[in-house]
Amino acid sequence: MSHLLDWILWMPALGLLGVLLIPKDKVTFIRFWTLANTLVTFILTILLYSNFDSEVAGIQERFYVAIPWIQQFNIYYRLGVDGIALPMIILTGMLFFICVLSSWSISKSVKAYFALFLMLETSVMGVFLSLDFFLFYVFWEVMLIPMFFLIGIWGGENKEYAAVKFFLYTFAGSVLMLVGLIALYFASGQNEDSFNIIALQGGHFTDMTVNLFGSQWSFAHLFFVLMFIGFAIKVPIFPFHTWLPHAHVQAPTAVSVILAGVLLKMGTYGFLRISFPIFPEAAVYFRQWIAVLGLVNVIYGAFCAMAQSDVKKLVAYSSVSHMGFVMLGLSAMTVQGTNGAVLQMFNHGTSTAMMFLLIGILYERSHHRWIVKPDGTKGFSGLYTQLPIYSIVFIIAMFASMGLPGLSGFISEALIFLGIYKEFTTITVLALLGLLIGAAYLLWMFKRMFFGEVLDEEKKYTDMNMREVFYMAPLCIAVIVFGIFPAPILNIMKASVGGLVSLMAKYH
Amino acid sequence: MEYDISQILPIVLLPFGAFVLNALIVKKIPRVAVFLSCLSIFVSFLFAANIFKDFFFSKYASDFYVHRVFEWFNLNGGNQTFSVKMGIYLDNMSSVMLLMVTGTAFLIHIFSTFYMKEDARYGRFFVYLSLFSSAMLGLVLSDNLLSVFIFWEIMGFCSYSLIGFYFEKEGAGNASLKAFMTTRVGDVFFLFGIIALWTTVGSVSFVDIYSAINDGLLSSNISILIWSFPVVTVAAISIFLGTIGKSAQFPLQVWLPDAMWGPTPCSALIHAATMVAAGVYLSLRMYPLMQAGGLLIPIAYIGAITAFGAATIALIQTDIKAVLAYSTISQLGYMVLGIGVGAYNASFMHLITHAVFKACLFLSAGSIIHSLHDHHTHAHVQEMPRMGGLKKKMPYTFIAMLFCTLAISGVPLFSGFVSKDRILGDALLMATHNNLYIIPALLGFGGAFLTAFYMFRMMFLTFFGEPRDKELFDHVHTEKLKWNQNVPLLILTVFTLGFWYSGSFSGQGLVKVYDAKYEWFQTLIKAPKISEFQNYTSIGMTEKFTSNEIVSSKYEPDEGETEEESHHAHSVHHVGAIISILIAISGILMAWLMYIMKTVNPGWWVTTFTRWYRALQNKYYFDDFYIKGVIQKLLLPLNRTLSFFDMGIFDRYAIDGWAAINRFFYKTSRWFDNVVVDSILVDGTGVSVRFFNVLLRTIQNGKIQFYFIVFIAVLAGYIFSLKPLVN
Amino acid sequence: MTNTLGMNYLASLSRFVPEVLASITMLGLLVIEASFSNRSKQIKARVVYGFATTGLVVTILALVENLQLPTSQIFYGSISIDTFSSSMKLIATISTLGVIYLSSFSKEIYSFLKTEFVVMAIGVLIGCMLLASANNFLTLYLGVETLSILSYVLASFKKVDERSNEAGLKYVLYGGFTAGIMLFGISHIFGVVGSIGYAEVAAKLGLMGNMDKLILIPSFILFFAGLGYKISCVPFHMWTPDVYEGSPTPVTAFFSLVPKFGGLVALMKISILIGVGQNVVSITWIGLLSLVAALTMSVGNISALGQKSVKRMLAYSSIAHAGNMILAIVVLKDGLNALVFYAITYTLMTLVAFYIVSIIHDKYGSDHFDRFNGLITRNPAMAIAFTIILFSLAGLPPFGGFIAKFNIISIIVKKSYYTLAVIAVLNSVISLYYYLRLVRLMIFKQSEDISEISGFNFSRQTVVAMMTLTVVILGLFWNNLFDYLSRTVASY
Repeated sequence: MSHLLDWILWMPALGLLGVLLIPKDKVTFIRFWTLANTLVTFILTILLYSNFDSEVAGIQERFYVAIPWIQQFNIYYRLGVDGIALPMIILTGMLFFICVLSSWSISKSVKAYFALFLMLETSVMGVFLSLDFFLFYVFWEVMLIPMFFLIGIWGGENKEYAAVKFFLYTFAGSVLMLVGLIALYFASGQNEDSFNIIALQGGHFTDMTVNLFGSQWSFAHLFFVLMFIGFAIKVPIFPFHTWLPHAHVQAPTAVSVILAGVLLKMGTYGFLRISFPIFPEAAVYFRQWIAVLGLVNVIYGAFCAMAQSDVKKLVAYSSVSHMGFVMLGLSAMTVQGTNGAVLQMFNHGTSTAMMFLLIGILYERSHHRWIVKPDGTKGFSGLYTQLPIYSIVFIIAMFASMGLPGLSGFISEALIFLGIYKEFTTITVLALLGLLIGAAYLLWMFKRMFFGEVLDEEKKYTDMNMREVFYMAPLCIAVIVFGIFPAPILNIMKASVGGLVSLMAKYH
Repeated sequence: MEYDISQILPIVLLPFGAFVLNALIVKKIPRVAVFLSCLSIFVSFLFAANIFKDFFFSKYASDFYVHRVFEWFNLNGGNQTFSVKMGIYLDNMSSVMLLMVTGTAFLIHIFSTFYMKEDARYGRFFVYLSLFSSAMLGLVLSDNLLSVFIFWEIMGFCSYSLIGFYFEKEGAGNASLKAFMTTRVGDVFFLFGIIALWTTVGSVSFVDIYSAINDGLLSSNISILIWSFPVVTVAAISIFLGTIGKSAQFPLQVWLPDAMWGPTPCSALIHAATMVAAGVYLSLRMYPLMQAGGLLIPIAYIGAITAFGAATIALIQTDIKAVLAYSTISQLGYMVLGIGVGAYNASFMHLITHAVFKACLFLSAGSIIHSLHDHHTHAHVQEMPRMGGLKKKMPYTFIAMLFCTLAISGVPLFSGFVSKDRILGDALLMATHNNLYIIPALLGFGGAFLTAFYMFRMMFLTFFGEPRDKELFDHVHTEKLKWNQNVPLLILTVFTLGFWYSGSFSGQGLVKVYDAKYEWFQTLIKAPKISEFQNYTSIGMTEKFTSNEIVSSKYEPDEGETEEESHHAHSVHHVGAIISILIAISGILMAWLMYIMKTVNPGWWVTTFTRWYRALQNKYYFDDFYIKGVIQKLLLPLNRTLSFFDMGIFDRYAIDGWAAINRFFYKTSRWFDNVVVDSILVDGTGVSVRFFNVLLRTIQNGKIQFYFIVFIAVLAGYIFSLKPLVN
Repeated sequence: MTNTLGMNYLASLSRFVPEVLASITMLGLLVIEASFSNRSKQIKARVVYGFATTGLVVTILALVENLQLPTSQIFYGSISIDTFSSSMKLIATISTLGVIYLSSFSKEIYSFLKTEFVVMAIGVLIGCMLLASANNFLTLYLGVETLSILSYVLASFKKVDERSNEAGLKYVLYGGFTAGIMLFGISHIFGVVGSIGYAEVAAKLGLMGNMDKLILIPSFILFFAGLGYKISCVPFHMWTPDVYEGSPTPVTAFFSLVPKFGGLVALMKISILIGVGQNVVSITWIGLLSLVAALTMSVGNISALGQKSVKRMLAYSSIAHAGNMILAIVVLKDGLNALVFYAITYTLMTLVAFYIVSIIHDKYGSDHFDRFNGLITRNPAMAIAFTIILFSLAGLPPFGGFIAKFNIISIIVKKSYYTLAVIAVLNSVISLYYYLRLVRLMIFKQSEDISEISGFNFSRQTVVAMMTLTVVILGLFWNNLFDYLSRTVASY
């Protein structure tokens, strides 16, 4: 069974090799090859889900690979899944499959595009699968390279700036993480398990101190902060968030979907997998600050989103706001809060993916994204009349990300609020304001774009075609089904989350 | 009687199933979709009727409830446990509510088949109706606040979609946005209240909350910012804010008039009969909480202000639907006032009676609007100034509307009188006890007068006198009895009679019906006694109900009252009844004088109280304040500033600033080389340029001397830096 | 374990084979040059390069042989043959070979001067070897001079080019000056300690009191100047950009490799001797080294930011890399294998980078940034190789450059120099910025001319591909190499 993880991890890499072997001009063949490959990966993740034992807390023995890689540093090729990683893995598998379909219309150097795309999938899977800190870091960094090119080559008008900004920004964060992981290695005594994330967990470093500038600092606090910056940039947490609007607006549709759907989750996943369990005491020590930052994200992101006249930028800011909810949930360190956060990671993945895909679909028809054009005229109007199916899907996506009960977003947000209420009442109250503004900017945008008279230029827009409907369908189903029956996801995560929460509970 | 889930759940599931099915087939075969919707709501009506029968007959005069619970999901992991339960809670109140909702909804479905027939989105309308009905019924059956909230929000979504049903119109879009956002304000607080209760009580099911209040669990304090309040108050306020939003109470009443952009049947169902009443229903369910939170007086004030204020605005409306909209707000105000003055069952009764006659009123208005078709603009006419004299052309509608108007105006023998009079009576009673209640009572009575006036104004303008728009009038076909146009109205009309509710024509339930000592409504509906809910254990979905679910209790109207107290109460009630009768009569008389006899000229009022008139026209400037003031002057500028700060300042300087800093360092080093070295040092020492020409030219370009100087300087620097080490 | 073969010259020579072989190669080349003077160029060139290559390959073999031997001091302990220096010598020789290959096709080395170039290069290599295996300050000085004098000539190799001459002259003046200061420092040390052998100096140092030690500190610093100049670390770096830009590309490549290695080995050896323990000298020395390392990295990277010429950019970045390698010296013996590993990857990356730059330079007569526009469309292989190399230089996984940086940072973190570590990683971010600039031009920009890039023929492609591949492999499967290094080199 353990081979399954290897397959999931390396299947896209095999696909990448395949793509490289296919001649450049066989465009459709490349597309179908990539599609098949991602589909297989997705099926494998489903297989993983079906074989997953939801009772076990933490890493499952039957899905655990550990092969020595670098003896000197006790670096292992170590893979494993637990209830926190699995939802992300399934999400990744699904979104990449969908994104291949959505990038069917890419015509500029298709071969390179799909090659990089599969490289991206491998690296993302690697981040979620790897249990060796070094391996984790390698995948974390490798992920930057395809992103850089995907944004920089296939992006919008200001793509280079966005690509470079994204690359440098994230790199700056992760090198700090590098220092942290090396320090951990030596602090844990350079033994067999010194890069083993699971072995590092449990707060062994609580009482250690380091001497810096002639004064004693808590080892845990110092490196928690160092790694926090690394992950915070990915999430992104205010004030490290400004790469996101650029990257999203410039990136091609599929890439922004992956960016918002999966890559942002890598940051919060980092907290759940590394920062919190390894430095529980420090996490508890800093939790109110994390909560405050999360709150700032929620409010600030929502307010900024409301002012945007570019719909893609609006959604980009909305994901800043929604990731703020995840941070709030994490900061609570209660069973509801953490479960809510992980669930929100998944739900936001699906709903934002829908939003970006839909914007992409619209962009292919309109070639602009202005709600209100810079010259003050209407960018869109009366799309509801012109594109009925599209509008209905859009409504589902919008209300899901707004957190309407019955759709996926609500349960996670409710759980998060339930989790933080006892810990930070005031922050709860203020965060609810974010919920209000969240509804406001989405509905206002919807009203301006979809209601009213149809513009002449929109007369030629065609409604969603079969391909688009086909790849939107699974997301719609996910959003609705998990809105009514969240149990399937919660059941796989709750055991592991419970373990984490109990660990944190020891320290506060 | 034996209950298992199969007798209750279909009430919700049938319309929901219809919704799911219709959503898929509506594009292809709208007719079938429509049929399915009607059928489903009818069947659930039958189920509801069956339940009502049981509650009404077999278990008369003893209240009991069926409570079924199942686990939605749990988060048990490690040593952490947390479980979210959903369930069904069925008691007297919900059984009555179920009957009302299914009944009106069914009739409105039927009417819609007539009203929406020509509409392009005929099928889609019914899809929304089914979803709405299932949500409303789910809300009524909910056993906990969370599921109430869920259905509450789904209804909000339906209302949003139906208000924006004609989304081509600019106004419809704005109205739907406004409606959703305004109610959302209340909902957010509601959610907070739920969370507060959940965290304190450990569950949000009604029974747990009741017992928690009884055990005084909620007296603990929570601190927000710098203040600290008892949980019970915070929760009560938050949840009542939910009511304010949903039931369009002051100061969040602004959305309901705009909601009239929706098709008339949906106005009847959602914005008159059921959804807006859900807010009141919630407050009634949470009555013990409101009591414990010491919130009754504020509630009474809010209700009274709404009842009166809305009535005043209704005075000058010329759009028939607008009049009804404001009357709805006003009547909801009476219900809230009822809660405030502790008239629990009167308030609920008014909810029911109002639902019936208001639904009927809206449907009548619908049938009028539908038949008034302007052949120039090809639009339906809603403006009363263009109507008049329709009595001859639309007799059935006239009958229906007349009965309902009599009901709402509080004329004896009609349902409105029974319920409203009790609320006012209790208000008066409270006023005699506590001066604080004097103002609400006065406002209540004043509102009653205005109600009678403007409702009859509407009647007279619409049906009586000479048709003011002759051409329009002539195009109206004389009404024939149609199963889906007037029949629903007439059925509803029947239930505008008082005795259905009071069991007596006087409305002062002293006549025995069904061999009971007291009338059924008072017997069935009364505020939950929280003491009964101690060590109550909820039971699983599939189990049969057991005797422990029955808490039999005899109804005693004068419970815990001394002799003269009860006597006092009775006398006050009588006084109240007389006053309200007089008021109703005088209101009607006023309208008659103005619009039939024309002895009193309305224009005079307008000219005399111009500023008031303008204030009324602008709905007391609430919209101006919210939209122009808060949103446009506060919110949007704030957003623009923030987003400018984000990209224009923060990102450009704080983030890209780093690159700038690096570039600055780079530039300085360059500048150092070029300026300092070349111009100052090299040219300065340019004396020796004459000798060793080649060599020195090279040297000049290459700044060798400077290198040496730096070199020496650095070495010296190192050496001197070691000085401290010496001693 | 050090056995001193005092009397026996032959025995000493048996350890000294590589140097001897290199010298023979050099002399042989002179002979060939003389004897071939009036024949056709192609044959001559072929013979010259063939001979040089064989000679160096043999030298490499000899060095590999030496790696097996235990540490031993020969020629009356004036020279020490040990695994560390041998390995570094090995790397230096390989890089010389690489540079010679580069010179064979670079247009910047006039065809009638190619032999001279090879001769000089091997001469510098010998100097580097001497410097690396020096066991007393005199030998060290000898090495430095041998290395320098030939470098001066190399720097001004483009006889007709103004800038090349200027570079040479600058190099001469500066080198002479520093050599003087260094000599002064050494003599001062001799004056105080009364010996010039590393070991003796260290031993005597151990016996001295702190006050006496204080007197030595300035002299050590003066001495450091000489080496710092060879390693071109801040603040002795100022000559570097001008010289690198002025001299022909192969020479630049050569300078950014061989002299650095020599200097680094010498610095490492001396640091290991005097940097141990907790006394004034050691503390000062380590402090000085860490300060220099930090400065070198930062200044190198920041100066590289705005460069117009790729060669100049690489020159500055080579300064930054020197800073990284000095980090390894800060932690003394623990840094040995990290240093060697870094040297290996650095050699590969630098060679590939300069190959490509020189090819572009030969095509356009300039290595300005915009010459690289749209390289991906004109010559994908080259562009991809260069991209990988640039990422590797910036220290991105999964490439060798990352592992090299990782080793060094891990070793300094182990010694809990956290500040240094953070400075180092942030510097790699800055470096990524200007490397990305080039990548961006190569891949995102459209080129104005789409003419085929000549001079990137099959053999060169293979060489570049091999080296790039090695870099990638070093990034993934560095276990064995690192294992080997930590067994052999660290044993020094």
